[in-house]
Amino acid sequence: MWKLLVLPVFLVAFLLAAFLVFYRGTYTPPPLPDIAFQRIESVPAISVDNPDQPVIASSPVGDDARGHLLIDAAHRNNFGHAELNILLSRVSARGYSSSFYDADSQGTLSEELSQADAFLVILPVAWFSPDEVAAVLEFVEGGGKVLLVGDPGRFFHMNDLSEPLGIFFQPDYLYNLDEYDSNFREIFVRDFEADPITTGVSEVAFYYAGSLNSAGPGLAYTGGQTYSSISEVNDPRSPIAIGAHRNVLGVYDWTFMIPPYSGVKDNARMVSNIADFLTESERTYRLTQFPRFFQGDVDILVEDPSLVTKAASMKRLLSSEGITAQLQGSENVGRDTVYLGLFSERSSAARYLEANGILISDTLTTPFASGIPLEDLAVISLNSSGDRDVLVIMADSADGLGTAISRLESGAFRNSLVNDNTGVLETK
Amino acid sequence: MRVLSGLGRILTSWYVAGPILAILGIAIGFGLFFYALPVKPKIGVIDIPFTGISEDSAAIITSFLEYSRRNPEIKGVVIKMASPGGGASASEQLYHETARLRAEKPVVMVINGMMASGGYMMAMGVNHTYAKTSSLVGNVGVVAGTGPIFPPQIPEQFAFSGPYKLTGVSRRDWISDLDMLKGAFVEMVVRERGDRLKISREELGDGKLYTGMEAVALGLVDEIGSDTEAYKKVAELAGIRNYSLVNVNVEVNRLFVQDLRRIYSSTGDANEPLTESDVDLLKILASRNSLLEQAEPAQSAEASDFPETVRQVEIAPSLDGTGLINRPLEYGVFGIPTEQQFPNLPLKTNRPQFYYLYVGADH
Repeated sequence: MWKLLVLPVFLVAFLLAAFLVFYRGTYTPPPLPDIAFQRIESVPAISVDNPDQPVIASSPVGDDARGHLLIDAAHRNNFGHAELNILLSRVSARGYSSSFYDADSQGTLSEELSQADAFLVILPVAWFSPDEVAAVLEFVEGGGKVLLVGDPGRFFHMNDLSEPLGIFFQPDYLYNLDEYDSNFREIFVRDFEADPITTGVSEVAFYYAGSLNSAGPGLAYTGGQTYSSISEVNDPRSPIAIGAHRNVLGVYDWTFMIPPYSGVKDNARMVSNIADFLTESERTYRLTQFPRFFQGDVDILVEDPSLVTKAASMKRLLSSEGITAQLQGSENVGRDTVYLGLFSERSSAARYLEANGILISDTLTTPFASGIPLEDLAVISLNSSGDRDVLVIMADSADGLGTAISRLESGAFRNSLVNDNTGVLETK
Repeated sequence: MRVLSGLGRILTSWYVAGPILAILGIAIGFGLFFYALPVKPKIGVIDIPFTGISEDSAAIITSFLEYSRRNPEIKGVVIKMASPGGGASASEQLYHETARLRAEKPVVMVINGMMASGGYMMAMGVNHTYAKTSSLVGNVGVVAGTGPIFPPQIPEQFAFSGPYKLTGVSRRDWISDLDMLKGAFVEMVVRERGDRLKISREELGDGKLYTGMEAVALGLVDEIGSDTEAYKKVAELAGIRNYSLVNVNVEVNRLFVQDLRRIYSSTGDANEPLTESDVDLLKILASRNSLLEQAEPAQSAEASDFPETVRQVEIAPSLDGTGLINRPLEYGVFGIPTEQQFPNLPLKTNRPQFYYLYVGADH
């Protein structure tokens, strides 16, 4: 009987051996974790409260708001023209025209700026040349408004232009992990300096903003748990700031001015205020910008009939620059005017010369020197007071006057300037 | 003679013969099991060098995991891997497949170099993780292309049925989805790591990359260690010893070759000797394995010499060969210029994609 057990015993021993050799237990898989994906919720994007925010001026539009906005498009600027719609519609509503400075532009940046009241630079990729930077600086000093717009979400080079203007675009982005719209880089700013640009604004949502270092005041400051990507301290950062000159504004977020983002919170109001900034230029012109300081039709006045041919030369010169000019018998104080005269006359233009510190008697008196002999001499003086520009050209003779006009035409008059508005030329 | 007879009676009595037989059985069994019979428990080793997780590489890695799961001799799996992550759905697939394997067999991961984002997500599916002190681990979060703020204008000769028919979602909602996916990723890590995790959800969601020793301290991985520790650990979890190692990559490739033989041989016999196509098959395998090192297949000059039919299958991953057929179908949607795909609808087709991917600074 027991012999029947031989095989099972052997088999059990065999299996026991196998178990002892290879196994010391069994695998107990861990319980599957309860990952409740259905409970994961996204942060709902903030509604666009005012998608149809009227594109009207927040300040009255009148004839005095007339001007021109030049938009840089010559530096491979990283924006689409359609993205300009909101800002440009507001600028347009304020009576401003606009044009692009690009490869098709006829003149240099300096020449184009001489016809503009405001200059908009958005996300330039190509560097500004030293000459271009100098032209923008001169433009600002002459009262032109400059808006510099960067965006951390897009590639751009701005600091070569913005640093001389007193604004540095930090290589960072701002973020808040506690409070944001749809993404941690979509931050809210509620701390504003009292300024026309922040008037009526209590909360702005920025969509990928960066921080500015500026010589002028910051206009909006981050708070709470908003950090800069290059700092681990959440000190206040400003994505909007004034430069070294009051006429320069830096904005380090382009997206918030583009729909639908322009309709969130008070963004639309901020865009309107920026449009106000651009269109409230107090541009003053210099004589070097002849004849671009004339913004409309020009009257040409001569008080000596022998100078009519010189007046015709001036008319031809202005026409060649696209400016309509007419000889007139009397002064219209509402229009830009060119006076052509001789020192020997008791010219009604003397008051414009006196306003620039120039007196003509037997000799010439300027703010810098007096007793200058009038022989073989011409004076060119620009008076931009009021709403008009008056250019006075006087010489000791008709030939001298012709020489002065020729030098205006050739640009050689710039070598004879004694200040921004006055040139004294030898006509011999 | 009487002595021999007495000895025989003693030996055949059950209380003597039983133990003798048992000892003999144990000895023979031990010898057979340990040295002769192919029944030693095996630990499958999956070796994945630095790999971007694309749909292609995920398909290949899935085939490794599936092989390990289906092979009854494999009692546990060690995955040696480095990855910066990759496509979101591909990464999630690897997490689910790894967790599926873990439900049947213990899985231990050795993190070589980097295991970031989608790679780290896959590591959530294993039982135990080892990292080197200098490994880089974590980077929980999502990356996605958002497209331009203004969608392209569609010519009026094309009509579509709803405001989101073409784009599928508004740009703002798409960005919101990014945040939701990050939340799901964080939730997955929190649930998988459980009490081992020592950092908050918020910190986890920051997307930081931690060194191996930081990751151990924060509970993102379990221990500092390497291959040997991993084998010991998986053997301990599986309850086995005296195991052998099996290279899963090689075994899967071997099956893959058999599939190719079956497909390309005139008789459909996988065992038929290969002729001139051997070289091509090796090239296919070489290009296939290169996928494990890069997210996108390299279009080498050598590959361009392949016959068209071979080029179409060069990254086919499937064990059963269906990938050879499916791959051209997939590339037919997004890989071929749309005007050739849909000649009557010449609209550019864009493939939306979320990524669980470490992009990294230029170190």
